Amino acid sequence: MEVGHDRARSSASVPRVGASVAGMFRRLLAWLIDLLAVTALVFVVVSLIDAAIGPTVEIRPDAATLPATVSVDRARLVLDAVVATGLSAAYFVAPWTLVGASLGQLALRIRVRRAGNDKTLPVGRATARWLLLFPPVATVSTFTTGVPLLGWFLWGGAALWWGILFLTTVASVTRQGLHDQLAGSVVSKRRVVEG
Amino acid sequence: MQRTMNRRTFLFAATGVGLSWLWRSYGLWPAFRPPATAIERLAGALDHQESAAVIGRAYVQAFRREASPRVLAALLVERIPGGLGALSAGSERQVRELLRRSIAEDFSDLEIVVLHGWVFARTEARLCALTALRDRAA
Amino acid sequence: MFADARSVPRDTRLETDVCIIGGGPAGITLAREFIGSPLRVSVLESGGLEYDQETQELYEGGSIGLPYPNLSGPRLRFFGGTSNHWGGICRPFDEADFEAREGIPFTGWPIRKADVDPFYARAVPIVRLHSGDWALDDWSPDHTPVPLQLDPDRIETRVTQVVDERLRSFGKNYEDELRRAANVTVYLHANAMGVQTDESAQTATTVPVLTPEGNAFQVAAKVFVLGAGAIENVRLLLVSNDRRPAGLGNQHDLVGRFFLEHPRFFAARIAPFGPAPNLAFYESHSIGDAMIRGYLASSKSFQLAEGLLDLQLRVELDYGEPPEDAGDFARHVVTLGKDLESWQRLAMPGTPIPVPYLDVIRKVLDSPEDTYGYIRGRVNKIGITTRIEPAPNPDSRVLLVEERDELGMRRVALDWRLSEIDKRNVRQTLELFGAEIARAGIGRLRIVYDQDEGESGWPDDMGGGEHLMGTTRMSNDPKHGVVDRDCRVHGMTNLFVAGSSLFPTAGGATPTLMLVALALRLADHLKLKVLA
Repeated sequence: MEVGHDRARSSASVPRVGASVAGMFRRLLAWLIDLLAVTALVFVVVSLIDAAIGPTVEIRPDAATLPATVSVDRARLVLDAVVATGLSAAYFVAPWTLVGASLGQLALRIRVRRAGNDKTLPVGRATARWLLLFPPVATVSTFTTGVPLLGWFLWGGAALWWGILFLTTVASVTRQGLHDQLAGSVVSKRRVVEG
Repeated sequence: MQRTMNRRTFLFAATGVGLSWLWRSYGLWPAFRPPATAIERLAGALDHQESAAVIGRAYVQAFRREASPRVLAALLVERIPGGLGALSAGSERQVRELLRRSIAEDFSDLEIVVLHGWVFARTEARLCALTALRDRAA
Repeated sequence: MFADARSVPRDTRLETDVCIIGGGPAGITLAREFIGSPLRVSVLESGGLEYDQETQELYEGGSIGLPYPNLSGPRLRFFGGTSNHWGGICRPFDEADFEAREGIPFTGWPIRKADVDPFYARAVPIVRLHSGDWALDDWSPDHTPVPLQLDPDRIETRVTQVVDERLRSFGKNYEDELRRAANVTVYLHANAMGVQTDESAQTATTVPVLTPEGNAFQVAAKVFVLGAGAIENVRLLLVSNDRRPAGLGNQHDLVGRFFLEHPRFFAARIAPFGPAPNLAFYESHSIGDAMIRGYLASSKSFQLAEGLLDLQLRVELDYGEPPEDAGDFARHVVTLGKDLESWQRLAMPGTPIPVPYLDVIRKVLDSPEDTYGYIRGRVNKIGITTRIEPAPNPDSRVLLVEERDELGMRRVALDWRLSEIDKRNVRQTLELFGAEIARAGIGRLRIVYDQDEGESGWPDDMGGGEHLMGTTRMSNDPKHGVVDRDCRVHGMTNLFVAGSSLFPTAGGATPTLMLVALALRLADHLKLKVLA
């Protein structure tokens, strides 16, 4: 790697000496682990809420008409969406600000740092990064449940957005995608203490 | 283009006038004369006129002796609770409700007809027939 | 205990008290009733413990009337008999099924429901059901599917219970018990070749047995019971013509006549007008330990008023197969899109990977088929197949033909016939059903069956339920039946019949529960009256 001391000083966004840029495969794997973890977390919490105050979706075999056999409590759906959003925010923002890595990133030994000073992200930037990476579009799709096709349109939009993030990450020498550039963050391999 | 459209429009209008004239002439026949409004109200009761006409044509083919709007209207009025009075006085909504009730009663009394395999109430089949005949030129 | 007939020495004369021909549900039920009694019982079963092609071929027979599969199709010729492949659907006959129907000749049983009820109760655990409840009210607890709200004086909902698939074979269920029974011997690979009588031809004396290897011996008994099924019972009676040329019990040419089936075919479709009705009650669903399936049928009061017999209307739901017009790609896409929509609404919001709510997962695991239907939320088509209770027709019959099987015994053929009254039954009942569906606001019915079509006036897809009945019917009058109310063959002192060949009418229910109940009744009669 041609990154020498001179270049390091001249560009604030380049990782410091001793650290190296985390590869795409690692990051994607960490992302996948995180997605699974968030799903599991939301599933457990919402299931607990369901157990406590009643189900959001109820299947009623004794309804007289077929559509009525599935009843969806819209208000609860909104609550669940808010809870899910909050959980996913907490899942990412807290670890990023405290230890600089989410669960998946910890497992794959990569970290998220403020570009330029190698510190953990402040809350504001961490939240921004979360917002860019985990589009509330996914949550918005909830509100469109029942509106034909709109939900799929929004999920499609989210997929497109993630595609843009992926491509910009790959294209960047420092592997900073659009989200990293806007949030001022960089993902690198965890520094190995020498000696 | 403009001219052809105009001519066509005129022809349609003329047919329309002709049709309504034919209606009036029914009213002049000596036998029971449901007022033009009664036939009109009944024939217009169904929203999907085209579909009704298709079913109605099947009914008319099967029951040729009822193949006249006058006869059909009279038979329908017979079944309606309140008869002609209720039909004339009621609003569109009320007329539909009366017909709906007749249809339900038909099914209860097994006053049914089978057209192309479909089981209909006599009233609804007659209503369709009336719609079909009203559309026809004669 | 079990014995292999192939190892019985040639020309042996086995002495026993009760000789039962046939190791199917009737024969097994009868035999079990004698376990532990001082009487010796021999069961003669043509097959072994498992299916074998050679033995099965002995059942082959053609059809010369309405189209019907080869006679070796509906039946199985090994231990357990046809119960080795039945559908497990059970329901007792209704009271009206036993009554003579005005205007329909040859209806009416010489016994009443009250005569059979105690035996129904005993039959329930034997067929491996858990409950003897059959009323609709017994099977609609909270949070379970509900029947359609139709006028029960016109179209009623009836309950059937379905035996667990693993527990349907009488052979597998009762093999061990019969093996341990000291006074009951089941001879496998024992083909009864008829029934021999004394000179008066009124008392059965022996049954000649032949094995596939050619080994022949005799079984002598005090009492003989034919429990080989409606086709084979006829065959056995007709080939027993040493002293009576027409066969045993056939003085009035009734043996084999009045063959009854429950013909079925696709008859109608319902086009729902509003939201589709919830028809889960009419699919198999579990309530507690039991598996229930409802079906619609014309009410008995309607049947009596119109001079008709029973007609079942079985609902077949099509939740969303792609439309028949395979070329219409766009419609396939829309159908798929709708399916995905319906699943989406059950996913938890905000999860990156879509997961359904826990309750939904639970329900899907509990009763996958029902839940699948609910989630779909719509039914593409509601099809109706009818099952007819046919009017007893003396010309519908099983008869001997010249052709012989591998053992040298003459084969039989089936001349299946229906009557005009059966057509009237279908037409009138479907019209009634159409009126009821419309009156209940569900939609409109389209009758697909056209009785003017085709040569016979019956649809090409008409089949039977594989319910073979009526060929040695019960009647107190020997001119109208082959056996009396105690299942004894008219003109014989000690020859009896068990099984669905006894039924004078087919009823509106499946035959197995009834034939087991009648076998129990016969067992009691033999134990208490005949052999006491």
